[in-house]
Amino acid sequence: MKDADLMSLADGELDEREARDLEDKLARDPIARGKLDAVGELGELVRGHLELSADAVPQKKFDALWREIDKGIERASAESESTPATKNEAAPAPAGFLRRVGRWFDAHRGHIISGVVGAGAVATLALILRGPSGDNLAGTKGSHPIDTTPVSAPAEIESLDTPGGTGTVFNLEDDDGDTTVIWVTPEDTVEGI
Amino acid sequence: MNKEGQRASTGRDPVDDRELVESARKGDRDAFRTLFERYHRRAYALAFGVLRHPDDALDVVQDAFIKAHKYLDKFEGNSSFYTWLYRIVMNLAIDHLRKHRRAKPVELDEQHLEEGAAAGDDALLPKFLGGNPGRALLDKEIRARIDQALGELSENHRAVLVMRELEGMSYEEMAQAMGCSKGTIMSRLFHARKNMQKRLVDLMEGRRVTDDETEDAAASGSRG
Repeated sequence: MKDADLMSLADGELDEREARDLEDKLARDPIARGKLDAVGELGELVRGHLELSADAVPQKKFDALWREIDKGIERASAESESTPATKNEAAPAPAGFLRRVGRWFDAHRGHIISGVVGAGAVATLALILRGPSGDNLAGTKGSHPIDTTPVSAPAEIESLDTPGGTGTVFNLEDDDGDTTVIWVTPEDTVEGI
Repeated sequence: MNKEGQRASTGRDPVDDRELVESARKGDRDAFRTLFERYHRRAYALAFGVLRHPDDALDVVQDAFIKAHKYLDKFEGNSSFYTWLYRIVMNLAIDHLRKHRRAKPVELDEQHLEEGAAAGDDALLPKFLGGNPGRALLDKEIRARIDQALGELSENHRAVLVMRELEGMSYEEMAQAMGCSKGTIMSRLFHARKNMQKRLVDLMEGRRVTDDETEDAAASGSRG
């Protein structure tokens, strides 16, 4: 008895007559029967493991996922309404990293408010520290044309100490380019609350 | 597994999938959300099984539901909504694998697999768990080993194993999804199973010994 036939039997790929013939042989061949059972057991292990893995994902992640899907549907509907019939293919949803960051933010809404407050404080601080140099750049006239080249260099600051919290500066890379993010975590913020 | 999917398949739901699809087609977003609630974990399990990366799996599930909504008008209802959805998930997962393919060892076995399997290459193991996979799944160590063993399979082998074991796809359906012949699917499935058994059997045997020892110890304790 071929292992390939046993596998086909286990997978329901044999026709009725072939299956019956093989079952007759299996009744007289305990080793082959053991192989057939082992294929079934492996299947249950794989299926059970993947189902348990899916169950272990916190519901809030899927709630955040739904919000992204909802936005994606909205976007696709808006674009199909505004696009001529010949070009009704919806633009793809923003892919990759930014989307994941969006989902993460959605799943951690509790932190957003304190983060925004902290980021506001840092932005204010940055404006103060920037001082007159910014004005000089804007007001430059005459022999030095303003350099309009987009700034793509990574942020030079990697971390900040702010009153009552810790700030982190990082770059998000995506198809659309780099975005520098200043993220401030107040000291009394507790993960998950 | 989340019970939504099972609930849907038992037909006990107050609202049938078809009714939900019909309402969603008419713009009822809540109806579509109900479909999402029913199937998101099953869809995730499928994507995760193939991709093995939680964030990639979430991306695929997200795209799949957006795509499903977009093409709801093309869903003819010949199959169940979930059957239609899992094909979308599977196609996106396979696309994702193709786009992000990392260096993988060449699957030499695929070249002679069909001959090997067809010629009676006794590769499958006759004994495995002793008939209690449910109990084995309670063991964290065994689950970690299953996870590791799945991760060690090639992407193609893992994809067919997951499609078959999680969704019960036929060889023909898998061949269509992966764009290859039925023979290649059989080969991949055969080797995927053989390799999984090889990677797990020592653990299972060890576990049986441990169980036996435990039983012996219990028996001798009760005797003493």
